Amino acid sequence: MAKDIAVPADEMTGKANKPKENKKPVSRKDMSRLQWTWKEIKRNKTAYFLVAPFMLIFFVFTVVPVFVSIGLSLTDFNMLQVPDFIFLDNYITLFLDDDLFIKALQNTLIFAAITGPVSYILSFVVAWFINELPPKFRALVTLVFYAPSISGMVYTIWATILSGDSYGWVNGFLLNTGIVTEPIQFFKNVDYCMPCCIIVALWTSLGTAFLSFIAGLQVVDRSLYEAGAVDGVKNRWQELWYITLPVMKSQLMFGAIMAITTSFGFGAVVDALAGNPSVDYCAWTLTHHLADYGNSRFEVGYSSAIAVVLFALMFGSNLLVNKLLSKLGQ
Amino acid sequence: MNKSHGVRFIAMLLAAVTLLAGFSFVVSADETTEQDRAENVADLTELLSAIKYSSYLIRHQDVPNADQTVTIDATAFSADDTTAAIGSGEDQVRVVRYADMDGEGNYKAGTEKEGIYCPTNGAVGWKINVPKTGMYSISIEYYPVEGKSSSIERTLYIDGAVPFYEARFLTCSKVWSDEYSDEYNGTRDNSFKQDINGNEIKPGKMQTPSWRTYEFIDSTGFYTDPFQFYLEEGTHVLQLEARREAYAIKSITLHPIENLKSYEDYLNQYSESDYVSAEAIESAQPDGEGVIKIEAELVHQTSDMSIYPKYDKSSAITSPQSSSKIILNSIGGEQQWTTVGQWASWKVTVPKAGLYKIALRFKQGSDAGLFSSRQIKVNGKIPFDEAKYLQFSSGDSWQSAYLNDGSDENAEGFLFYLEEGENIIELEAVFGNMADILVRLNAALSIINRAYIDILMITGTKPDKDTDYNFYKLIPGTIDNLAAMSDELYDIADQLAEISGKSQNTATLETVARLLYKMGHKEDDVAKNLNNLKNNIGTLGTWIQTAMKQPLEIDYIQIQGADSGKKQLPKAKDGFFQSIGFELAQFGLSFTSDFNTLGALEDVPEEDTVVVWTTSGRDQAQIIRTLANNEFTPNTGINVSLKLVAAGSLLPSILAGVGPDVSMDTTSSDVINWAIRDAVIGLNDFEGFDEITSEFPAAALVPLTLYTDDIYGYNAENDGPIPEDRVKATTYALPQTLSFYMMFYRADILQSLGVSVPKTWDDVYALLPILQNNQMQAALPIALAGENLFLYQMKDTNASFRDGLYADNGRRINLDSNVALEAFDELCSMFTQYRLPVTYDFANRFRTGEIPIGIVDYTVYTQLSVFAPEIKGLWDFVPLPGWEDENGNINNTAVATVTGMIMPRGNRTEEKERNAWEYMKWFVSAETQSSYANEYSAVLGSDTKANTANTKALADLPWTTDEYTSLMAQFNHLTAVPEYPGGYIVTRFVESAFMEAYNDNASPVTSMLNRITDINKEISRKREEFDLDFYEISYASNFTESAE
Repeated sequence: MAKDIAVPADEMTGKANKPKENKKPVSRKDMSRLQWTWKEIKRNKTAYFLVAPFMLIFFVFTVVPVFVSIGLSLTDFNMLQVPDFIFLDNYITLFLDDDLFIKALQNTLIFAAITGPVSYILSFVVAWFINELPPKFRALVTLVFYAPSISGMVYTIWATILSGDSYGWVNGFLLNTGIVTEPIQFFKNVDYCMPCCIIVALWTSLGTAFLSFIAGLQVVDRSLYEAGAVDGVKNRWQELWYITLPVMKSQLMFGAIMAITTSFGFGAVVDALAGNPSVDYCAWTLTHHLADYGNSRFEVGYSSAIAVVLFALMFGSNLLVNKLLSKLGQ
Repeated sequence: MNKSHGVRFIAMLLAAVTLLAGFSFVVSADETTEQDRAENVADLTELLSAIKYSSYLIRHQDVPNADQTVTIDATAFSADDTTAAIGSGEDQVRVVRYADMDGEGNYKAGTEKEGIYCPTNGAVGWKINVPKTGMYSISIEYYPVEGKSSSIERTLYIDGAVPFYEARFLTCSKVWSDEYSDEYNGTRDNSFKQDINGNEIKPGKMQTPSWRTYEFIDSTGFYTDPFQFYLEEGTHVLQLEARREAYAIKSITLHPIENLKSYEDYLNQYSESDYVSAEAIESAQPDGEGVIKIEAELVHQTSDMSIYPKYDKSSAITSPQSSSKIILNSIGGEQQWTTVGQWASWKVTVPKAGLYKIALRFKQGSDAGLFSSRQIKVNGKIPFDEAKYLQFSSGDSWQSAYLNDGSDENAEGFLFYLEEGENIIELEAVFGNMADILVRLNAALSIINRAYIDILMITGTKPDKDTDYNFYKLIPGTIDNLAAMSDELYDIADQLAEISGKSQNTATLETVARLLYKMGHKEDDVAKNLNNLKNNIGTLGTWIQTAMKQPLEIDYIQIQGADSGKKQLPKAKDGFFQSIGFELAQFGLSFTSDFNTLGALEDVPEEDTVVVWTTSGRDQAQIIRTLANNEFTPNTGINVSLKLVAAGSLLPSILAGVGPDVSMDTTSSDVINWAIRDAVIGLNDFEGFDEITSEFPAAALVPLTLYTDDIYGYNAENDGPIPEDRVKATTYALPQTLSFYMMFYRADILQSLGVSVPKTWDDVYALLPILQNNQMQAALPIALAGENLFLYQMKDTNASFRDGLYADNGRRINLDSNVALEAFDELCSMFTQYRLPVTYDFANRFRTGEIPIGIVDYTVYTQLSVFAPEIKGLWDFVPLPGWEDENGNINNTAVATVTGMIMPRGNRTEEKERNAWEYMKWFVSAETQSSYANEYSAVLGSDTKANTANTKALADLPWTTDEYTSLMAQFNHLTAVPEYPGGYIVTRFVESAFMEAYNDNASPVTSMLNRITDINKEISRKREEFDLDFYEISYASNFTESAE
């Protein structure tokens, strides 16, 4: 990596060093890596200065907690007393003696596997369709699709729609039409709970990713399509695959990361609809598991271990998606 | 209009008779006889079918009015007809002497009178000789002795029978005055106490009783004239039975009904020289600009403690006003002083006797947009008939007007004769011209309600549109009633339009009338519109409730010369720029106001104050602050800093070492969770712990106490039960609130089903099929709450209170015991066999009658009182049903849940710790809790009752005697579940087991047993973490999981 960076940097410094040409040119090989870095930092100090506030905050509130969390996951910290170091005990318990964790992991993966890709593809397809509309109408339709995710807790409407009360909308309909004779406890029945939560999650998932897709679709240069037509693109699908998608790769990446984090961090919707905990832990996810240990049982050490696992999962799937996206247009 | 009033009244009565014909049981019912309380349906039937006053009057319409007055000395009571205890004790019938108190709480010399003390329980009787048969009005001279905050309520019996329904609720008010500051001298300046920032603090209320005359009159205000009683010649026994509160009576007077003079006759009494001109006032009071101004917030006396000075910031010219400070400048409003019968009085001093005009600057924001009414008494007397119908029109902003009755000829305002010197002007909330409309509407509503339930019993809540239910055959009377009520509502709408014009109000009534017409005339439309009808009943009930409110907020009262006119009216609205300037100043100053010190009397450094955190509402916090300032700090010298914080902020702050000294409103599970981690201080060793805890039921302390023992390696099979002396109980919180389940039922529905209120679970099992047959359901708590309900009634009464849900002092869950499994099976079968609803909104379905009976938290009482006015008086709450043993004893124990007040661990000196403890002790004590509960009702409405854990304070709340009896019956049978480490897991698994049994029809026993190991495992894991003795749990050792 260091070498890759060094080459273009060398070229650039060549220009900057011109006035001191009579001196012996300093080359990358003449100094230690540390010296070289320091020199570079000094030369670009304005940039560093400008990025410092963000980096500081990012470092203190994002990077440090990740490491603190990894550290805590090796202890039995309970928030109120001094922790003991217990090495990997938490992880051992987690994977070998915690059935609930396995269930949470299972549920999280199901959630992520369904809501992640589906909402991602859905976002893209909807964005693609909407993009074809005239601009004013497009703005309106965009708002309509984006509304569920900007209006915060709007998914609680589903608590009324799918309420277990005989006056819930769906139950009322089913009872009136005689399909059922008793109201179905959608969120209190192990068989219905997960599917219902997934449906609601999908409904709210047209979020930030969707917006970035719309933006991405609009930056594609029209002339590329013309060039493509000349070069033999036969239909919209080819246009999409060979031109549109590769051009908006960075938006796709952003959308993917958003989709992954939301699908793994999925929990608030379940809490609001199915309660915490859901009946028989049927919709129990990793975020629930870690919040449960952290907040109700005060076992922060254990909870950190869960967080670390969740972090690893997200990180891994991001790498995977990165790999997949690089295959676009090939 | 008022002349036609009497005619209309008769017309109304006749209409009522026609209506009641369809209501057969009312008419056929005879006068009710003496009875205890409406515990079973037989009693209730009588109560509900008691003859109404309107029918009573019709029955005796040929009886001539009395023409003689009989007064008896109340001290000569008849001991034979008295059921109350006679003696010289505190709450016993005895002769007493009381003197009047003035507004400042001093006794007035020479006002002492002798009377008979009538206690809070039982009846006091008198023998009265009636000289001639006739219709008599009855009045008493009474003295409201100091007591609880509620008014005095009595039931009248004549010769052992209640003459008519309304005579059960004869209500006479108490007398309250404000506690002004020490500098108070009758003028506005410095009359209220101020905090360190100069904000005025709401004054406290004290009772300032005096001898008053009470004319027996309808307490609901529907009948504006005093009651008339039919008395034959000869000796009669009159008994007054206590419903609420005690008082003393000096005399009882039977007299013919007084007909008040008309305004015209009233004026004719006075000569030209009695008219006082503005000039005359000005020459007597040069600085007054020809008017005498009385600030309404400086009220003389009120009937209720809920009528108190308020601050208005909506207008720049409300007097007095300040943009930066809180200045108390008005009285009344949309919540207080709206109930009929509540009054407030002011002292008015005029330079010479004569006729004056009275002007008011007021605001009246009635929700319905209707006028609101007051009646005026000048020096204790209503001066003329029209003075009973003073009207105040509704509007969004402040208005000003001379007192008038809304009619065109009197729009310029009435003249009132005032004596030279001090006069007392009293304004009382009344229905005025709305009274007969409201009477008719209420009668109509109860008939419609009844009809709805009749139909509901045939069709259920979801009628099938295509089924021919044959209503005309099954319930012809009901359908006829619907049609009749349609006509009635149209008629009422017309009457309303006549007095207040066509508005959305008449439209509301007409909409309902139209629906009733459809349902009453076309059989096909009945089932189709049932849901619609239900909604309309709700709308109508809410409308009646709104229309019954008589809101009025007064800024000041002006006494003006008889010659003043519209031009001399006080300015009502501030000018545009005045208003903008005022708003801007307020906005600007809001940045510098310190809201944390709101109400603090002294600026004291943080070190010397006890820092208290509360998560309750702003209103509650304000009440606590006032109480602490008025009572705690002056008596102990300890300052309190009260902070309103968000729930969940306590733990982080304890962690950071910046926690409070006392934290209120903590749930019992949090208390124990923090206690086992050593974040809360144990309270047992503090001074006075035993005395203060004896003020609560034993159950209240159980969930706030951590039970540990010093036995390690305990094995129940080998070691036998844990000896009591090895158990260590540390209490970590003082109980604040306590709630428990009670049974609520709709008396009218149970009556029409012909069943009595269940006392045992067997009765409930007998009731459930009847409810089902009539398309109704019952409400029961689910999951752990339901399991606890059954388990704690069924468990061995000799077992330790700690055993029940848990066993072996919290080492394991006891849900796999036979009794617990039996309880769980019982609970699940209620839901699976009788298909009781799992998810429902109780208050809503109770009001519509779909769930006429249910076991819910007793605090639902408040919700129902406020939220469901249309079923007022049709429901009641009683102790839980229980299991009957061989000896016929019913165990109807209820499980209590509590919240408490803790002292978090922190760095504080021993003295500060003691101060914090003093505060805790003070707050939960009976006296403080009573004041708190009273203030709470005063601010949030009289039906709002705080669920305090203090036994005495709960008893002091203004319950009716019936409510109190029921409540105490349950209160004395309370138990509680101790909190143990790992408790959170129990709730979860019991709910899972319950839902599995319900959803999949799984065997409850298997569902439960499948989860026992998981629960025990978690409990052991937690106990191990806290170095407590624990059991080794493994799946294999317990039992093999069933195939399911």
